[in-house]
Amino acid sequence: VLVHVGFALSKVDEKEALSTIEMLREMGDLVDESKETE
Amino acid sequence: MKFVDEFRSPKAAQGYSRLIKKTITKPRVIMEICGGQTHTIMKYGIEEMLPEELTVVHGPGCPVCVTPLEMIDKALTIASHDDVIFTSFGDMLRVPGSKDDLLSVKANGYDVRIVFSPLDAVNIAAMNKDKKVVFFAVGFETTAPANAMAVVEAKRRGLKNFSILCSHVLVPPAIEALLSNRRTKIQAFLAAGHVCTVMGYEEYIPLSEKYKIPIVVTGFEPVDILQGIYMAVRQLEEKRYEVENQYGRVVSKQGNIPAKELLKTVFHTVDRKWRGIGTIPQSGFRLKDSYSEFDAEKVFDVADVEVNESPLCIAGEVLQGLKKPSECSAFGSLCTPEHPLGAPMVSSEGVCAAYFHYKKHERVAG
Repeated sequence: VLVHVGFALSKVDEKEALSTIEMLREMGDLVDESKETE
Repeated sequence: MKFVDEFRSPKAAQGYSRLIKKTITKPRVIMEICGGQTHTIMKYGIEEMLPEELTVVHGPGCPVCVTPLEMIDKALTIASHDDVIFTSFGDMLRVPGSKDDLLSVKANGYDVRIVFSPLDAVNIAAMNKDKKVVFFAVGFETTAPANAMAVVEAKRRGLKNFSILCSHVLVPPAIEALLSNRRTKIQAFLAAGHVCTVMGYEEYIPLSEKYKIPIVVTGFEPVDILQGIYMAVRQLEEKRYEVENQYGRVVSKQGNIPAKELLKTVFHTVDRKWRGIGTIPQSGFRLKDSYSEFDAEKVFDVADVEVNESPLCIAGEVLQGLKKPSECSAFGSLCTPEHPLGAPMVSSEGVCAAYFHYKKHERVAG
């Protein structure tokens, strides 16, 4: 949960977080590939 | 830490940095509203990862910074009573009023205490029935539900010695005020993720349409910020102006519905003065009449307070993104976190403090 001044403001949406993380991984892979081709 | 480390990945950050450079075709100006995001940008050197064409300007989203001088002076007056325990979040204590700050009031022997939650102040009131306990309720929509809850809780517990000095501010009217300024150069906004956690982002849609401006709800980790910037740049390049949500893992379109209901129960919107900027219509919360017994401005006689702002401080222009802290003649010399002239140099969310901690080399010579 996200806590602010002693109150839980929101629960982190696991599905949404995992899909964003997957996108970030792909972004990291792209960086690796472009370094290899440089 | 799960769901934090992933958003600090250097590889993902480099990826977005490259994408932004590849996408941008002409000079663009983006404002991040929130002081928390300003600090992420400085701390992680994000500006150094952006192309020359892109300027990031820093917004007024630091509650301590925009709390009007009159309100600080009222706090100082109230705290200087023998029968008062004045409670506040820590970063308000060093914000300069016209003559003094709350820390000096404490040093003079009055009872000023730092709390981490407004409910701590309610507990202090319950334990000190012979004292009047006042909580300095500042902040944006993120903090407002907690402060509203403190008032509801005090009422439930029948406490007659608790009140709040309320100086809440709201983001959407501030965005409108910034865009109405003819000098503005802002072409897109990163909206503050935690404000939208509470409020959702429906109220940003009419703003985006009216001013034809992209608004991207954005998180606080470095990769969040870079992704938010990329989404804003892509909208600008594609000539779109929409509200997009980068921070989907936390923010929903409707926000936190019980928290919004609570705000409606306790507060009504009023015109509010922002330090350095001036009065913005309907940009603040004040307690409703049904909760007026908890309104410190009514409990104490603090209606007329004369104020005196430092003539050197350019906080108003800085908070509107018109100037950067490094353009201030007092930055880093006459004004430092140890001896601040203006609030943005004090707060952990203040833009001048961020520049001082992370970008001292940009200090104006002489």
